Amino acid sequence: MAGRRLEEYNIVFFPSGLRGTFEPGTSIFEAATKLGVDLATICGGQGECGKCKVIIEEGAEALGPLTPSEEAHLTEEEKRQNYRLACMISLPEGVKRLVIRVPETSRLGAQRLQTEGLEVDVKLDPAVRKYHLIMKRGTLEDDRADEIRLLDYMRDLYGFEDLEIPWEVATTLPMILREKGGTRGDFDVTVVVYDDKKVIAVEPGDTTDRCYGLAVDIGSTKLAGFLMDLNTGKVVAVSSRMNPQIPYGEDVLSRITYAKRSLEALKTVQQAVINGINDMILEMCELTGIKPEEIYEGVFVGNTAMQHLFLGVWPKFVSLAPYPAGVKRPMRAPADKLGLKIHPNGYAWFAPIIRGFVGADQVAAELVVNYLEIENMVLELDIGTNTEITLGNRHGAYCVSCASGPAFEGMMISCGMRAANGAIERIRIDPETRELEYKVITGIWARGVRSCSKYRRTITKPIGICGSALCDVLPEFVKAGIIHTNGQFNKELLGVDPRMRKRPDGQLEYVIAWAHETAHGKDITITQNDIRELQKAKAAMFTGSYLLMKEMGVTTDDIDELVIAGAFGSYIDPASARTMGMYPEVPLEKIRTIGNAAGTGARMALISREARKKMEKLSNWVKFIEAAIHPDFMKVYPEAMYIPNKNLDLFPETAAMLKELGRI
Amino acid sequence: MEKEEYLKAVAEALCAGDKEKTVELVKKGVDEKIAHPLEILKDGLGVGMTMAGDKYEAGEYFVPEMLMCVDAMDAAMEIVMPLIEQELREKEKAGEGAPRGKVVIGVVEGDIHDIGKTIVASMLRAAGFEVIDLGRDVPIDEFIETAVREGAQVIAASTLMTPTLEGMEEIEEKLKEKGLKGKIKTIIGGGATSREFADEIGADAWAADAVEGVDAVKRLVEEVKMAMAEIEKRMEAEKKEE
Repeated sequence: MAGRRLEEYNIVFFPSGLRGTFEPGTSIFEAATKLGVDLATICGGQGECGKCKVIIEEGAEALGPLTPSEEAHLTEEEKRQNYRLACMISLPEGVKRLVIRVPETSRLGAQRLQTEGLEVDVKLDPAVRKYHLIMKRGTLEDDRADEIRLLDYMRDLYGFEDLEIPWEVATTLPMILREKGGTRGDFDVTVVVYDDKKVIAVEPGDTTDRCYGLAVDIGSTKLAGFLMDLNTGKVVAVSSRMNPQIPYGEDVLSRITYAKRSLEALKTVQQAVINGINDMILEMCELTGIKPEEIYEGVFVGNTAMQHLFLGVWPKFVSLAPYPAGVKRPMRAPADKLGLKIHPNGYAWFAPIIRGFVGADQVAAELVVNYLEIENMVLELDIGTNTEITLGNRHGAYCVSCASGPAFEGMMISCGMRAANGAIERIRIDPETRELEYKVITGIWARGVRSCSKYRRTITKPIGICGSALCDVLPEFVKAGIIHTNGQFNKELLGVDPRMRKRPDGQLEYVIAWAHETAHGKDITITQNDIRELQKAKAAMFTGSYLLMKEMGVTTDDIDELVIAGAFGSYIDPASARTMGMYPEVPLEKIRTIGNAAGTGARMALISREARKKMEKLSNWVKFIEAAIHPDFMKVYPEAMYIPNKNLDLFPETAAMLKELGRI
Repeated sequence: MEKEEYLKAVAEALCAGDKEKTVELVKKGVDEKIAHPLEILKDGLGVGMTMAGDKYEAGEYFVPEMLMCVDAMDAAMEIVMPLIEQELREKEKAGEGAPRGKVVIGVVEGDIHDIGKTIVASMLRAAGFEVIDLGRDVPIDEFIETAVREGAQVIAASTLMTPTLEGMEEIEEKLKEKGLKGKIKTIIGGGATSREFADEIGADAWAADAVEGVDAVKRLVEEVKMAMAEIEKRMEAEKKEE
């Protein structure tokens, strides 16, 4: 899971984490293009538009002096901060490595970041409510304190019995009450109440129509933010970006490894994500004209590591067996103390988690599936570096977490990459003739205001292979007889099929795209090791599902619905995943995807306190099993490495198909 | 059945991961005295495991196949080990033949993923080492205490996860503290490790997989034995001078 170490590469781009080894003299702009780094340009690398500004974080001293074009495009402040134009600099001789940050302003946001989820259908009942009051001002006969007067009116008009007016609200209350209506008129104010208990703000005049909240899915790779109108429950703006914590570790474990060095390190990692969220808030506010102070609450959902790193909870022990979380229940934190740029008296509410490796994102998915109320037996998977799975219905549910690894995200795969322009996203091989077709992602463009995509040169040639195509590799290869069902390459094709060949290191590999078809002029291939990584990942996922089924005494036939959550799940071909045995062989019509369930769950929780209660209930009610120490693990996991499985009784349909093709 | 032919059959059954057949053959060999239990271990099972290792290296075998071989190996060991344990000990006492190398192996504290470790332990046994398997989530001190108590030459530590890497560093530090560095050599492996990391913390070896691991352990055991012999020689020389 450590991945390849950064040192093996001489150019690294952050925050994408894309990296490669290049010859001295290679233009940085060219390197970025080859790697598929999201970097803005209008002029196409001519030093004219000044869009491709980058910050050199390591190796700046080895670069030559600023070119006239850079002198012209960079401000003095930028020059001090080691900004350069990517198209004007190249990799110097003898430098160990260049670490380059692409600032948000130089990105198009062109990575495929899924923010969409299901439409939220819940009864509107947010924690934050606004109440408009017109109060008679004091007289000699009625000299109640401002605070008491406000509480009395709130009781008489809206039935609040025990409202708290905290110190931070009380201090300015006398001024605000008298702002509208003057010193002689009535007091005209709007009271912002949190959870029917606490006044978090008093605003002059009637502001009841401006009451907003923020819902954020904190993914370890990406952030997805939704600005919502708490009066209507509607989303008014959406924003997403890469999680700015990526430079501190690509996966959650290495990020924790960084953060647990010291409290300052933890603070750095925490601040990174909060800055990212603040950026999104500003962007959405700019777009809609809403002020950050009109946002009174943020609801956050993410896995347990993200929860710890967002709240600043000491994360060391949650990363060590038996993985005890520091915090499990919903956690409310004051926005100003977190540094969250919403109303200073507002709150951040983080959803509850289940276990160290089953976080609030899985609770959100369980909320979306509605396990507490459904009669149907549902198997829900959130596929990622860590795959969380829940099985059950309203009579009971179990969940499991499996360390599936980042293979399906393109990591540890020789030609793997994230889903961005130039990624092969689909592979089809004729089982008889082995004729190969692939589809490349092109034209993902940002919707943001900074986009200058219409000028951008489109990459139509492939650079690498992303997760959804990697998902096709095992099933397509097996069907076409390129690999055996145990994952071993079919040696008989050596010398028969030109795509099959031996690498210098002795490994076999299969060519997906020839050098002349690709953007970088190199073959794109799948190696034996790649196959093995994919086998391990898919076996872990199946093992999780199967252990849950055994625990609950459920067979494949008993599963009424198979639900796939998460960005990855929305892009894969469910038939491919099923044929390789990533999950049980349920009929395809029983499979559905629910997109970014974490985002959906966050939105539900933001506008419904009932949803929050359900999440808290789910976090205690769903039972957890530890896969790695389960007595059946050592039998189920190795068998699941076969394609589709060694135990073909579990995959009758796929077995019949492979038999007909003569593969088994 | 001829001995040679018999041992070859044992090796092939093991390499095929055929537990039933391996056990049947080993029982038969012991009962009918076709081969000495020590020969069955070394020239039958050991050879079979090496064959499986070669197939792994060639990309023909992967984790499931190796685990089947491990399973067969473990079952066969249960039959032959009790028979040869006594004999080996006597031989060692009498100073006959080279004593077997001893390895303490485990997954470091904080991690519970032990498939890789289990394969390595079994292959080390097949290669003739005495292996003390401490299992998973093993406290750092336990590695060192066991190695000292048992007189092991090598500590082999594994982890799949990144946060537990520091446990491996701790092993090195504690060995240094106790002045045991060099007397007990270390090898690390597992998904989160790398050669660079091993160098960084001063581990004596790193292996990408079980096959490399067995070769490295062989080398480490020899190095320790030679170093110890050197020390003994020096001490004897000092004694004589006195």
